[in-house]
Parts: sequence; structure tokens; C-alpha cells
Amino acid sequence: MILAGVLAVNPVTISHAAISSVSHALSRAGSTPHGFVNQGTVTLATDGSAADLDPASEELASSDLIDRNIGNTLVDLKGSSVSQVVPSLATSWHISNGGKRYVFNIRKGVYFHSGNLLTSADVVYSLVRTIKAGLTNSYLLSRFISNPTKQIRSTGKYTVEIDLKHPQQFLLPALADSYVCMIVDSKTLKAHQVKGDWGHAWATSHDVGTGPYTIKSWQHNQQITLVRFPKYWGGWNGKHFSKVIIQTVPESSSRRELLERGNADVTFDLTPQDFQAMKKEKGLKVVQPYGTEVDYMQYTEYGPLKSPYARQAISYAFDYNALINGAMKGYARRANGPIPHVLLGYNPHGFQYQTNLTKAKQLFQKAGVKPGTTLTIDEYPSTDLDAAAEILQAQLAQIGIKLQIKQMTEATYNGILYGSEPPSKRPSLMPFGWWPDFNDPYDMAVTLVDSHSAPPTGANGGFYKDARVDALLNQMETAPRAKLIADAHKLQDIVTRQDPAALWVCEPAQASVLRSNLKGYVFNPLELQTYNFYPMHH
Amino acid sequence: MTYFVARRLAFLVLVLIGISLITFFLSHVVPADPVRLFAGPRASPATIALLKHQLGLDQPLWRQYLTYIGGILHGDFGYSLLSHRPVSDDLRDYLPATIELTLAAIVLILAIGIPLGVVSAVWPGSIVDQIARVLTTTGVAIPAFWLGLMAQLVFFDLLGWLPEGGRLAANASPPPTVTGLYTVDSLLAGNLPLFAQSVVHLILPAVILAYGSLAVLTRQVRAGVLEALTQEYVRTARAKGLTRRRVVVGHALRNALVPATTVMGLQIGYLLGGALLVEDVFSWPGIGRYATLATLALDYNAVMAVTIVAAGIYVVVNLAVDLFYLVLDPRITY
Repeated sequence: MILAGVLAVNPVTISHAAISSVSHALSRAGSTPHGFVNQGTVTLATDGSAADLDPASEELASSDLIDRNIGNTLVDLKGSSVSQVVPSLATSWHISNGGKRYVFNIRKGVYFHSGNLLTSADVVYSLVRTIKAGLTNSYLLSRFISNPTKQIRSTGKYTVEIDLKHPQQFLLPALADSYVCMIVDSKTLKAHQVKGDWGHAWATSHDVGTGPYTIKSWQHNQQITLVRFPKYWGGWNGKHFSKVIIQTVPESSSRRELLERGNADVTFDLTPQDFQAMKKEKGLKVVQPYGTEVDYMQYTEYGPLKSPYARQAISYAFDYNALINGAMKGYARRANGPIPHVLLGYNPHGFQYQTNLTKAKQLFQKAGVKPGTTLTIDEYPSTDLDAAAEILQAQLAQIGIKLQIKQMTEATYNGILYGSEPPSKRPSLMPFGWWPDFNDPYDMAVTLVDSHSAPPTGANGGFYKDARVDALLNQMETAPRAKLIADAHKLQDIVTRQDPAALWVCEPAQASVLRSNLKGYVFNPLELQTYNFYPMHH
Repeated sequence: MTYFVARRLAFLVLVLIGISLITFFLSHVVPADPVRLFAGPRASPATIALLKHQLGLDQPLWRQYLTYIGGILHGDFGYSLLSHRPVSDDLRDYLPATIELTLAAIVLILAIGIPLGVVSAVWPGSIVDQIARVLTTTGVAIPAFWLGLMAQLVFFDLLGWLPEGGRLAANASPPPTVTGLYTVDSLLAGNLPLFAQSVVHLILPAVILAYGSLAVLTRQVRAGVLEALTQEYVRTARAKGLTRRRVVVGHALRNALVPATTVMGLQIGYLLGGALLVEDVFSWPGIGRYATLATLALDYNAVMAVTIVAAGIYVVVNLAVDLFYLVLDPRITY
């Protein structure tokens, strides 16, 4: 279903194209099978399992995958764009009052899977709920809206008004976030509310969306089956799958086997060797776009790594080529800081380390780190970061620095990363991966390098602190576009070159294996490890 | 006997209290904050505090324990941080799969182990005895997970005879739930193709799970029957002109089954533990796999629930074994 009216986000623009009535006509047509070319079933083999479907709290990619197909947001990102926003449940909107007032016109004739009709009341409820329920995802809209019950209002059966204290260039991209800003069935959630939980217990395991697919069955940690929702407002003209099976298969070798035997149609998160081998197989194709994920090893700013020279030394010592072309077989590219290539604020001319053991040795000397010093790294199973740790260990060994690698489960590792242990009790390096919620360098960087994001508040596990970085992030939160980009460039330089916060290891390719005849797959760099099955077909 | 049963049930309660105490305090000794993990890195301190309060984790340990025990008495095992729903809902989903797998393994163990042990004892040194010895040696020596992987390689990958895992094929819908056992429920629904599919999916994991215990039981039965066959009463029975079958099955085996039953009861514990590995290899969605995931995710409530349920099953099964002795040997009284 293609909607008219593509919109480029610009904080200065306060008018936009009206949306055609085609979408409305098609929403009426969606309830009948006329023009529907049934493509049957598509099966995705995934490594994780959906747990919590409540957009106010879920943060697993495996849950996001489900929400993306059973729900809708007010606006959507267009195709593979990280910045262009198109109408979805909102058919149009008007920005006024210097960018502080947004008025959304809500699409008519949209049904929730419960059979309830979507109105502005559901939109208001959904957005207010995301903030006021106080669950995991309340941070996202709280950045823009401090008093949701006052600032988000229904001004008609199909109009919603959002009033902001300051102009916010990222409100629309935030509303396009498929796992936080999903519009939910307020009547159903209110009916199932228990002890003021905003219907959270119900929303965790029930379908409260308006999306093209609805949950038919769910065997937890095994399989979830979606079937097409006949009354989907986007209609069913053309080729669409009528059934989607999402199978949980934790072992990558088993997922590979399923694709090769034709028992699944799509999978991801295989090893680079698997991707290479499957590229040559008939009937399969491997796509390897780049998303917004950055993998890194955070430096703990303590002890041997207190000095920025020591951290620069490690960044010089690392063999980036060995990782990217060796271990990852080309399924990764250089990361030049916390801001990935495709994100606003990335500086393509920014400083990039070249492996230089001599320089590394000199810098360690300058930092007072003597040969024979032992550094430590805790890690959990992860293809690129495991390899990176071993490469770093080998490189450091050549200049007399010992790196002790300690393996643990992901839950234990996360417990250390987010735990309350001080820097003196943490390992020297802590590997991790991150991607932003929307196309905003502040959103990407703040949780990683802001000193206020040190545990237990955020993911700055190395207790990195640089007053310049804090000041820049403070400005970036509300800066206009040109200033934001300039500040992001400065930040990138500080946390990469001047006062490294981490060894910025790589941006891994978000590779998927699909049947050759599977079309319509559109990758979006912000919606990682999820698939939109509605446009897909043979 | 009523007193015996009552005493054993009281013992069961004590065992469960002891296990719950040990697992509760051990799981809270782990230096990690599961709520922090559950809430994610962007959760504000206020959100963490709210979640801790909702989950009762801001209370003193002793109060948390009493609340937990109070919940168990009402069938409430708390909230799973892994699945984001009540642990009792998870157990309802996962336990039948393990029961189905374990029952299938037990059927295989008894159906193969007892006859094989008897034949092996009656004809020592024969080809059947040789096969039995190989089976019993490999059964106790080879780890189940390795055997499972090799079985997948041969029967799924190379021969394509059996599926690699799961309870049903990906595009199959489970039968309407009555018992939670797909084999039984599909029969009850009159869905023979689904029954056949569920049996086929059960074959490999059940055989692998049964293999180790099959080895132990076969050896036990063989030893028991061999010993019984040297007894005076067997000689008397032969002298009376009873057929070999009657002597072996009616007299020797019956006496050999007493210690074999004890071994089998103990093997239930092994089967429950072995199910954990087998379920992981074959993606079988039972409580073993659930326990693995819960442990890795530091999900205290789920880990404790699985431990308590497994302990309860083990004690009840061994009580049943003790009562079965009364059937086997009328001389035994409690």
C-alpha cells in the first residue's frame, strides 16, 4: 500500500503536501479479497524470542519484530530512509506556533484487531501511556513532552494536538519509532487494566494494534504465527503473504540448515563464514546493508587507562583490517566514533586510526603504562567482538601488554555493565553494541559518553567523563540542525581522537539470507533485526 | 500404609521448603541486578524503583521469601523477567512438553531395557548379550548432547529421515490443548496426520534422552536376573517342570525388578536433568530449555519454580516407586 505525500523533516517547514484520498478508498477496499494475490506463508528463523509486546516497555528486537507487523505508528519512515517521514495512522499534520504545535489528522476507518475503531482518543491514550506508565520506554517521548496529559490532547474525533515547550525537530522521527510509539487499542487496555498498570500485563502478551497482521498463535520461545488482518486499512491489493511464521531457532547452524533445506525463507545473525557459503547457494541470496549499529569496546577510565594517551595507544594498536577483512570477511566496516555513517552528524572526513604498533608503544610510554602491564576485558558471545578481543590481545602482546579475556553469559555481562560497581572494580575494556532510536546524533551518543549516563543510569560503563563532551551533548539536545551537525563533528573528534571513550571497533553489516524469489524486502537502518512482511512477496 | 504415605508426603513438604530456601538465597547471592537488566539501559532510576516495587524486590530478603512461599501455595510462582508473564503461565506451557518427552523416554526404557536385560541374562555371551553390553557401555559413557548432535547429523542432515527438532513442523498448528501432550491431544482431536507428525518429532529426542537410562536399567535387570537364576527357588521351579518362560518371567524377573525399580526411580532424576541438554539440542520447548534460558537471564523466579517443580516430581515419583514395591513383593509392608 503506497501512500501519497512524502515528507522531508525540516524544523522550519510548517506546511506540507495533503494526502490523497486513495488511501481512504483503499482502506475500504482492504476488507475484501478483491485484487489480493495470496503468496501463502513466509517463515523467518530468528535467534531470539518475543517476550513483551507492550510498546511502553518492550525493548527486544525479537519483540519489535512482532510489533512492527501487528501495529502502526502515526507516521512511518519512508522505505530505507532514516529521515523521510510519511503518513501512516496520521494522514496529514500541520506544524505551527514556531514549531511548537503539531496537529495530526487521524486516518478514518481504521480498525484495531479487536474490532474497535481507531479515534483520536486512542492516539492520545497511547502517547500519554508511553510516558506516564513509567516503564522502560518512557524516556523516548519524555525528552520532548514533560506534561503529557496537558500537552497531548484530542481536539476532535480525528484530530490530535501536541503542544511543545520548545520546537523539536525530532518529534516526528520519534513518533515513527515502531516499538515505542505504536498506537494501541485504548478501550481494550482500559478494560484489562489491573491496579493502575495501564493494561501493561495484558499488552505484554496480547495484540492491541492496527497492523496488517494479527497474532494467530504463540508458543512462547518456540514460534509465533501471524495471519493477515482482512480489515487492514492499507488494503490487500496485490501480492502479499497471508501467513507469517516466526520460529525461534537459537543455534545459527540450525537456522542455516533450515534455509538450505527450504524449511524457512529468511534468517539473519549467522556467522560471516555462513553468509559467504550461502552466497554461493542456488535459490538463496544474501543482502548485507549497513544499519546504524556501532560495536565498540568501552575504556574504563581508571588505572592504566586513566590517561587518554593509553587509550589512544590501544586505538592505534588494534588491527582493524584483521577484524573487518579477516574475522568478519568483509561483513563489517570501520566505525569512526559513536556516530555511524548513515546517521545525521557523521563526519566522513573525521579522524581515523591506522594500525601502528610503534606509535602505540610510544603512547603507552607517555601514559606511564609499562610493558608487562595486564589489562582485562569481560565479554559475552558475539561474533565480531569475540574476534576483536582476540585480535587486540595478539596486537598488545607484541608491545608487551597483556590482555586477559574473561568470557561470561550475556546476562552476567549486562549485570556488570549496568551494575553499581565502581571503575576500580571493572575490567579495563567492556565491549558492547548500540544503535539509536531515530536519526539523531544526540540520541546515539548521550547514553554512551555522557558522564551522567554512567551506571546505573545508562550504558557509559567505563565512567567516561569529559567536560567538553558533556557540554556539547547539552547543546546538541535542542540545537538546530546546522549547529547539531557541527557539534556532532566536534564530539566525534573528542571521543575518538583526543580523549577516546572507546575503541570504536566496527559497524557490522546487517546481513540477511533470503530465498532468491523473495521480493519486497526493504531494509531500514534504524529498524534493525526486524522485517516488514506486508510488502514482501514472491 | 496410610501412615507411610502421610509421612512421605510430609517429607515432600520439608524437601520443597529446603529446596526453596537454598535456591532462593543462592539466586540472590549472584552479584547482578535482574531488574536493571530487565528494564534496559535507558530506564530511569524512577522506572527501576517502580519495577522493583511492583516485583516486590525492594523488600527485605526474608519478606520476599515469605511472599514467594505464600504465592506458591496459591499456585503463583511470581513473575518471569525472561518471558514478562507469570511463571505459572510459562510452566503450563513448558511442562507438558517435558512430560511428553520423559514419558516417551520411559516407555522406550522399559520396553527395551527389561526384555534386553532378560535376554542378555538368559543367554549370556550371545549376540544379544554382546549388543546389550555395547549399548550399556556407550549409554553411560557418551554424553547425551553429543549423541543428540550426532543423531541430528545422521538422521536429519545426511539421511533426511527425521526432523532436526521442535514438536511439530513450522507450518503445523498444535492440536487443541487438553493435556498439553501433542500426541495425546492430536488423538483426542481425531487428527491422525498431526499425531503421526508429533510422534515423528518425538523419536530422536526421546531415544537420545532414554539412551543413558536404558543402559543402566538393562545392566540392572541383567544382573538381577542372573543372580535370581542361581537361587534355590528357581531350581525348585525348574524341577517342578515349569516352562523356561514361566521361570524367567514369573519368578526370576519379578524378583529382579525390585532393585531395578529402585534404579528406575532414581533415573527419573537423571531424565529430568538430561532433558535440559536434550531439549536444548532438539529445540524442544520443555522446562529444561526454559530453565537454561532462565538461568542465563538471571530470572530468579523461573529458576526457583523449575527447581521446586522438578524436586516435587522426583519425590512423588519415588513415593510411587516405593508403593509399587508392594505390588512386586507382597512380603514388603510399610
